[in-house]
Amino acid sequence: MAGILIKDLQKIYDNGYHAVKDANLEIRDREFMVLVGPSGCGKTTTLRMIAGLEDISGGEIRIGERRLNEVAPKDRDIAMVFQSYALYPHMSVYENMAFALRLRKMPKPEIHAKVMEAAKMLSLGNQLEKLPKQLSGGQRQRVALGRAIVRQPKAFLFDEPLSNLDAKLRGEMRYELKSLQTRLATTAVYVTHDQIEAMTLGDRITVMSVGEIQQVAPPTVVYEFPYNRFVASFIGTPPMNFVTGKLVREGDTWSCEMAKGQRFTLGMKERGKLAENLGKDVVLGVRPEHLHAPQVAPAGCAVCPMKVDVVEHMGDHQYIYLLLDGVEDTVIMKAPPQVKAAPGDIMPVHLDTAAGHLFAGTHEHAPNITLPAGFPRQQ
Amino acid sequence: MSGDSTPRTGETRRAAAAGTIEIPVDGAGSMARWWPRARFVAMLWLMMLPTIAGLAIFTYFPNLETVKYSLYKWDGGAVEEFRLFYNFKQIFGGGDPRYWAAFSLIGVLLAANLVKMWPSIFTAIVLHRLKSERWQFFYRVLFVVPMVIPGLVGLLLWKGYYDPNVGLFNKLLNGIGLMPVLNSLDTAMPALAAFVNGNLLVWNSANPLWSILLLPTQIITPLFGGLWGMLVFGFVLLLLRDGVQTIPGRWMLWVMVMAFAVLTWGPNPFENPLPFLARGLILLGGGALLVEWLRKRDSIEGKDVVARIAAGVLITAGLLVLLSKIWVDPTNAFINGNPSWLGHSKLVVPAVIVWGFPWIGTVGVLIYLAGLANISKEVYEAAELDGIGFWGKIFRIEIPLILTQVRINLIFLTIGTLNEYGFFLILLGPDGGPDNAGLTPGLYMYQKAFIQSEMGYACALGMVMFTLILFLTIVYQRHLKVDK
Amino acid sequence: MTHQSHLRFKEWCKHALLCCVLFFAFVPFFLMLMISLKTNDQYTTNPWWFDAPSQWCWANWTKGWNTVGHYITNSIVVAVGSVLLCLTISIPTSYVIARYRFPGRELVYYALMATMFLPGGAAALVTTFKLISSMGLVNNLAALVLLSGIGGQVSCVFILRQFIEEIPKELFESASIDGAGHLRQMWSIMLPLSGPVIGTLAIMNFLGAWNDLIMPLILLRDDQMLTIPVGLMRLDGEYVKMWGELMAGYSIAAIPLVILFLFTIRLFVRGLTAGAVKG
Repeated sequence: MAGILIKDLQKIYDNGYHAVKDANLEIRDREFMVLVGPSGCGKTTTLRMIAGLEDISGGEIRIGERRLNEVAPKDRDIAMVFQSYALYPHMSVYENMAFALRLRKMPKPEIHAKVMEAAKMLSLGNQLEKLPKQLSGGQRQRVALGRAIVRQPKAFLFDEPLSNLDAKLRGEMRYELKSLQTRLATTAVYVTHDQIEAMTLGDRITVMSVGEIQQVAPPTVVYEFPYNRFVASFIGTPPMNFVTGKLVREGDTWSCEMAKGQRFTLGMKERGKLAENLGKDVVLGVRPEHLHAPQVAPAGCAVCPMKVDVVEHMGDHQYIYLLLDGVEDTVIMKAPPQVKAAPGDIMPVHLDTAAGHLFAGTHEHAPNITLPAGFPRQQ
Repeated sequence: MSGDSTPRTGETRRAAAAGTIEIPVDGAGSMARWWPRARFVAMLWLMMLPTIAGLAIFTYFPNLETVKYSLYKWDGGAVEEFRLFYNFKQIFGGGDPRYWAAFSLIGVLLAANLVKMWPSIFTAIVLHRLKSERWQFFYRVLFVVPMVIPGLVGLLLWKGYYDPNVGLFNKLLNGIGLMPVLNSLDTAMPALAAFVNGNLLVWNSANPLWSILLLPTQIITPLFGGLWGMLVFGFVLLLLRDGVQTIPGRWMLWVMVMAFAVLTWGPNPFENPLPFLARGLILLGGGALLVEWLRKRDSIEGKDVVARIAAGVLITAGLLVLLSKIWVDPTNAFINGNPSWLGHSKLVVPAVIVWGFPWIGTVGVLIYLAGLANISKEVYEAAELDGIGFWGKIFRIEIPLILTQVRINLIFLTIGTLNEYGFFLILLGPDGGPDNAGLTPGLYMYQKAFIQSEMGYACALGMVMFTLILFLTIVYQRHLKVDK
Repeated sequence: MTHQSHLRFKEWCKHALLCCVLFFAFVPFFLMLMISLKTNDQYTTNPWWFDAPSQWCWANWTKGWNTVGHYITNSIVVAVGSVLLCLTISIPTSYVIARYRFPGRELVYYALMATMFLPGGAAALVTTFKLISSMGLVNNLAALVLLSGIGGQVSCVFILRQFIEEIPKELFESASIDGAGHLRQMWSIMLPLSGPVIGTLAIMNFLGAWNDLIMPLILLRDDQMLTIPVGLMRLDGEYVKMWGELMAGYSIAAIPLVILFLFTIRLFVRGLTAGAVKG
């Protein structure tokens, strides 16, 4: 068991594409670390460099005290679960799980014991003689897990292991993975593009974009204190609402002025960096659950009339898509079911700006200027 | 071997690409950086070493030696004398008409092979269309079995079929009454050829009907200088339609090929420059404008006008060429009903073309079948819902989808035909049969090398062939994209 | 005609056509066996007809065996040796070329592929002979094994490379994380997954070496050393009239192939259908 240390990691492909830039990351011992980001953000490349399947162009990777850069994949003592499972199609489930142990010249009885134990843990007991093609998607997934478990590696690497499953199975496997991880207590690095998986599975989340690490923190911190606009938009469904405006100040009241003259009074507590952005373009981000219908609104919200476009009923709550004059994207509100709204209505929407965030500038990675002073990017 | 040096260059390139990244330059650090990768690559090269060594020693070395000896006078043994381009001067300086004559034989064989490739494809399609999987497997197995027959047996048997007196072929021709037909054609076809050839140049008032039928050629002949020119015209039309997409590109191509056609097949331009100029202007300007105009119409109406015109021109010209060039002289071989197919200089080539009827290589069928097996059921079902017919299925689905195999086959067929000599050697001997009728360039090379001991000269002939094949391969790569 | 019977009629047409093809494909086989059992008298009066032997002349086979018998061993040595050589050198090469990107990869691959387009032909025959004789391998079966094995690897690499590239690369990566080196990856992943293809390539190479005529003709001298095609061609020259014995000899020469196919035909058909041979 050991932590993984990534220092100044670089990946540049032969065609000049810079896939990973200056990645610094410490994955603690027995931690479940999730790398999340859109496709092409460098998360899989990072994972494959940890596995040794990609050359490292710069920087270094360590497991425990051992530098991995020059170590062949087979000597790194890690196990990897692939997106396509990579089960050997010509070997039975048992042989698939025993393969790695046999290569390590483990005595037969010991192999048998380990495979049986893993099979029991994953309830694969009656499938051991079958070939992968005779198994269902979920079972294949379990075999892939079992193959990793029997190795008892220093670290597990998961490359989007649930993305080939249908929605229902994915939920179940997510649960199983989580409970398995708790039981095995091994360092794990898990790559996914699905932020729900990231939120539910990770002890900590690493959000990546365009080859760079944007933020590293426990799921709740990432959700509540996104380091920049990218993190804010990527984590959370439906995504955070963004409106662009100008930061203005009247006496003690700071507000964000929209193109059409609407103003949202800002209620954030941290205002340390507001002054340097006065008069500049800023983006106000408010999550759907911080938009309120008038009936249920708490006190102290900014109010703005918006037109209801579409209403989605989800049972215990509903999403109301709203049009705001002068804003291109729809604004989404998460409302309790008793709120009555029909397309075409004009609704005075209450924005809980105290729970919102302000980003300096309109670009994708604009920093969050409402974080507490000295808020760490990685924690 | 090179495993040591190549990774180093690779690593430098990588570092250069990194650009902005600071890579420690101290000796130990950079060594630690590239050494694992270098060792890894060296390992890969080591695994390929037997292949590389074998290739270098047994394939490249002998072939490179032929390059060397093409500049020598060499009898294959002790006598070696350097004489630079003497051999090549001999070949290109008109000193060797037999070599160049051999190429026209290759042209005929190539054309025949292009036709002979289709029965296998159609058989594969039929086999593929069988509904029952079990029957399909049964036929596939049976199709493999003929491979056990030693190659020489087929050759001996066919040689026997062609025997003038007791052979199956003549018995068959006599039995179904084709021999008298051949005999009458023996006088009719040369007459027809003379007629077509005569009509090509002058209006024949005695035969106004023929003259009208052949009117297109009478217009084209003075422009292009003959039917071959017309064939070129057709090909150029096709090229202009498909091959070159930019307008300047098309015009360039047009100018080049027309100039070539006019110079090659027209009367000498320097004797009478005025009509030559006029002709050139009409061809270059008018033709190109015509094509541009037709292409515009294509895009408006969605019809392939240019392609149809080109096809029409090609077919007419091709037919007329066949009629006027192939059966020009009577053979006088069919009168007694026992032509000696392999012993008559005019019959050797037809006999070789018919050889192997119905030209279905059973393994070839299985290769095409492998391509067909990749066509998904959905494609067929979708096409059937769209109302596709029997022929539509063949030409719009099956053949386009096995084009990869067809193309690969085409390349190897061409190269194989060009290099062919073993078959002719065993069948007809090193002279290529009566009057050298079956003398291919490859066989000629063999004859020079082994019979006449002019090894250096044979090597030079090989070089010429190599250049030709290289050129053809490049053309194929350009125009017949091979994906796999 | 109803739709059903129309369909059935179409199926019958296909069967008829395929049977026709099979007929033509099997004629040489049938004739070879028939002639091998005819007396020379019957053959010369009506040589190429499908009549049954009037006297079943088994003596042809005895004589055929006496001539071909010792050629068979030579042929088997050459063909098996060639297959083994071809596979042992082409499998690692195709594995390396299909799996890795590294400096020089294209160079090796195209150097291999380019040999398909070399004019080779008759001119290279002489230089090849010169090379073989300088190695002292003239009149030695090893020369044939070398030439045919090394020549055959080109198409093997060409086809195997494609098949290995179609194997999901995660399988190899997973194996390498599991602790498998190159050899183990080839043995445990690549070979089982491309079995029919490798088998088919082996058979094609076997047939190529088995039927090769020109090289043995040039390289072999002693009668003891000849392979079947050359041996029988000499027989053809010696006893021009002895068709029965000649065909009996060819029939006997086909027996090893028949045995080979008896054991491998399913594999071979599967490999061919999977596209193990191109062009």
